[in-house]
Amino acid sequence: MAATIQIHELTTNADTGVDKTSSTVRFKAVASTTSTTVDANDPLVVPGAGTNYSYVKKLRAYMSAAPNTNISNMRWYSDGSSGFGTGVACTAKNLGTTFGTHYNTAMSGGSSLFGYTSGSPINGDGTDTGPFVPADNTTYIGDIIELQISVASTASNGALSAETLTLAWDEI
Amino acid sequence: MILLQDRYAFEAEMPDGTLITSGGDIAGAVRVSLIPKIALLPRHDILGQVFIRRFLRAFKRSVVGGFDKKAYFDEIERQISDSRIAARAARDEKGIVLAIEKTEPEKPVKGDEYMQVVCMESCRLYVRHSDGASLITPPDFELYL
Repeated sequence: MAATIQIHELTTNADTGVDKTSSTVRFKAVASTTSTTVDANDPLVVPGAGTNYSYVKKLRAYMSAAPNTNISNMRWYSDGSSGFGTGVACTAKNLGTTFGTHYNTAMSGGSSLFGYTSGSPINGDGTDTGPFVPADNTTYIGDIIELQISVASTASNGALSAETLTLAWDEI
Repeated sequence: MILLQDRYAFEAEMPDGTLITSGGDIAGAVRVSLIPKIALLPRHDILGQVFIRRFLRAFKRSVVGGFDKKAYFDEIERQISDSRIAARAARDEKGIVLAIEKTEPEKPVKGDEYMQVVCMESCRLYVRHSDGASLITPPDFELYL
């Protein structure tokens, strides 16, 4: 049997989260400790001037069923083109295994999610290095990926189009 | 039900007839087969190649930002009240035409995928679990979907 790996949105620490595989990570004006629900509550507001930032979202892979031998070469990437429109950007970075805090000020050290493509992905196991083996079953594996949306005054009101984030890995 | 990740099994036959069905090392094999567990998918048998290794490449998706507008508006339509439906009918009888605001095109959201990868000295074979489609690439080509 092949492994089952889920994408989790972390809430309180590096080993606690909510399954977001094939679901939506909703950027909000409140932290993930308050809400990970996919609804229209706590939306981001287009500012009159300057930029508003969402609370960061921290994603990590969770092994819910073990591989035969191991998992390695984890990587995260986007499709390389933003459908968010003018004034809306998404920043991403690898946190390693340090959870940090939830915050809604500008992320430092990140770069555009859409710069991370299949040919130039975020390394998903640079700090928490693989290979991940059957003994890692029912634990979080790999590095934490942090995402944040910024909304500038030039953005239009309304809901955004959905964008897809991919987690890829190799397994034997 | 057979999960997407389990739709294909592999089998490597060594020169002494031994069959390898797990692990990644297939060096020295004389035949490698990718065997579907669903009858609709094609079987792939590779012979006459110098084999190096094999693995499974997996792709999991999550949607970030935004929402599924179609699902959202379908749900609103589903929950609409009888009085609202009556009001709409009355409006339509009066011949009132509302301007329809254009929405930007939605990107198709890709689904999960798994690929069997067989690395050979002269090429690589990728086989998708979703439909059994195959792709032969140069030996150093890394395919990501």
